[in-house]
Amino acid sequence: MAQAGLGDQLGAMAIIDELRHRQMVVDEQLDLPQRRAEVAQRIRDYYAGNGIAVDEALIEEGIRAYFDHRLEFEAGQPGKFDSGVALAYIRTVGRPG
Amino acid sequence: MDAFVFKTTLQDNTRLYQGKLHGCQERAAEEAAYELQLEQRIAACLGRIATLQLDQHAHAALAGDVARELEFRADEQQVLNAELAAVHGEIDGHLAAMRALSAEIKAANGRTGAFLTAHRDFLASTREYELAVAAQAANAAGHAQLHAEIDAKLPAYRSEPLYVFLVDVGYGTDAYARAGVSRGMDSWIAGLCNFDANWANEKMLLAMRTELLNRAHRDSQRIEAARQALDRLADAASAETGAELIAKRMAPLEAAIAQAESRARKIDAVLADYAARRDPRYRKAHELVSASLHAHSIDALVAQARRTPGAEDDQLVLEIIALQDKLAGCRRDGARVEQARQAAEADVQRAVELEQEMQRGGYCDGARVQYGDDLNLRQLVGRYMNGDLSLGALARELEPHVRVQTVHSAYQETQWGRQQRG
Repeated sequence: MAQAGLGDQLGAMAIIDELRHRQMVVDEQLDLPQRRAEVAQRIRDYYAGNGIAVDEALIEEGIRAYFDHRLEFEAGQPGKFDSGVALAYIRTVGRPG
Repeated sequence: MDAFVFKTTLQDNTRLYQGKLHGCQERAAEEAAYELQLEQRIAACLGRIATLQLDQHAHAALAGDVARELEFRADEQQVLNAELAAVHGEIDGHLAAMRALSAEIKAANGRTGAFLTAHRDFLASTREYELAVAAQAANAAGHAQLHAEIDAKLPAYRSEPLYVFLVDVGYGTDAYARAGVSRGMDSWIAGLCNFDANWANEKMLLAMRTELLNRAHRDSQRIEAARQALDRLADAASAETGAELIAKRMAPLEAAIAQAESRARKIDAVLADYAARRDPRYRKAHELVSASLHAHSIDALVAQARRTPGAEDDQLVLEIIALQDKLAGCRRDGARVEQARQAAEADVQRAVELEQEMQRGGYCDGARVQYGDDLNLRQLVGRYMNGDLSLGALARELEPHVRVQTVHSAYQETQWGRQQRG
């Protein structure tokens, strides 16, 4: 009985941890200004540590461009033949019932 | 002459007299309108004299019933003014009570404010409310930016057919159950469209959208909870200091003022009628005076106008005399026009009777009757219309000119047929 209880607890905790992890990832994506500031600071520190002078505007532009492209759809690059076969498949036999 | 020409000659005759009758009717209508106009102008002058006499309070010159109406009117006006003053006094009383109550409420609110300020929970709740409002304001801008980003990026995930296909078949989810060649083909297609990375990104965007809505909801809930806590504390403090009870005493006063103001508006409306002389008493007095003046002879009217102090009514009386002269002339013309109209009406009647009688007697039947060329129909009709001939005499004069024909028989009872028989 005690073993079964522990198993349940561990199973539930695994799910909870998974959910917590997902929540953390989502929160991280949503805290965009903070993330931008952190990344910018790390970049400034890196360049300063290596004695490289970089314009602040360049850092800002680079960070903005990077975050602008996050989570964007990235299409694959199939060849014409593969693409044609795949499209023919999904239009004819590929669709379920 | 054939029967058709005979018939149209009679119709022309009827139309001619109908035209004359129409002219007489128009003239009679004009005369009647002019007469009515003159009568109206005289009535207007009499009305103005009546107004002048009522204005000048020439009560001595007025009949007893008119004077009585004016006295009633003055009494009614006095009663209404007194009532209005009473209502205004009532409103002033209520306003004074409200001012006193306002002072009490202000003092009680001061006590409530002091009570709350000293209360630790109230300070904490106020702080929490301020923080909640500030947090919502701070998050709102960031949330809008993130919503815009999500809305801009999600549509691309619905535009690539291979990726959309895999999403539709549930690829990458626990519900995916395809096997064999299909499973192999799906896996191959997933490689072609970069499915795993895109699927993770799309799920992230959808989760972000849901989380943003949750956050906005939590911000609103936080503000609402803080507001409710503050309201509870304020209500408790108000009950403690009596502010709430004092405020409740204000409502009946406001209702009483609204009621009194409504009564005052009604009285004002009635008094406005008195001021504009639209009230029933004034109208009745005016009608009585006008009728009385109308019934007077012109000499009596002149005498009455002279008894009043102003010269304006004397002038009006002179105007009435001139108008009455015109009216007498107009009535004479009207009588002449009426005589002419009646004569024209009789002519039309006579012409119609002739036409109908000729029709009934078969004189207009083109299939059976023709007339000799020696017939002077216009002359005959003219004599009939002048009254020189009756219908019977006209028919007798017509007979010798009639040529009767029977189209379908071998024997024709015509002038020619009678000659054959002879």
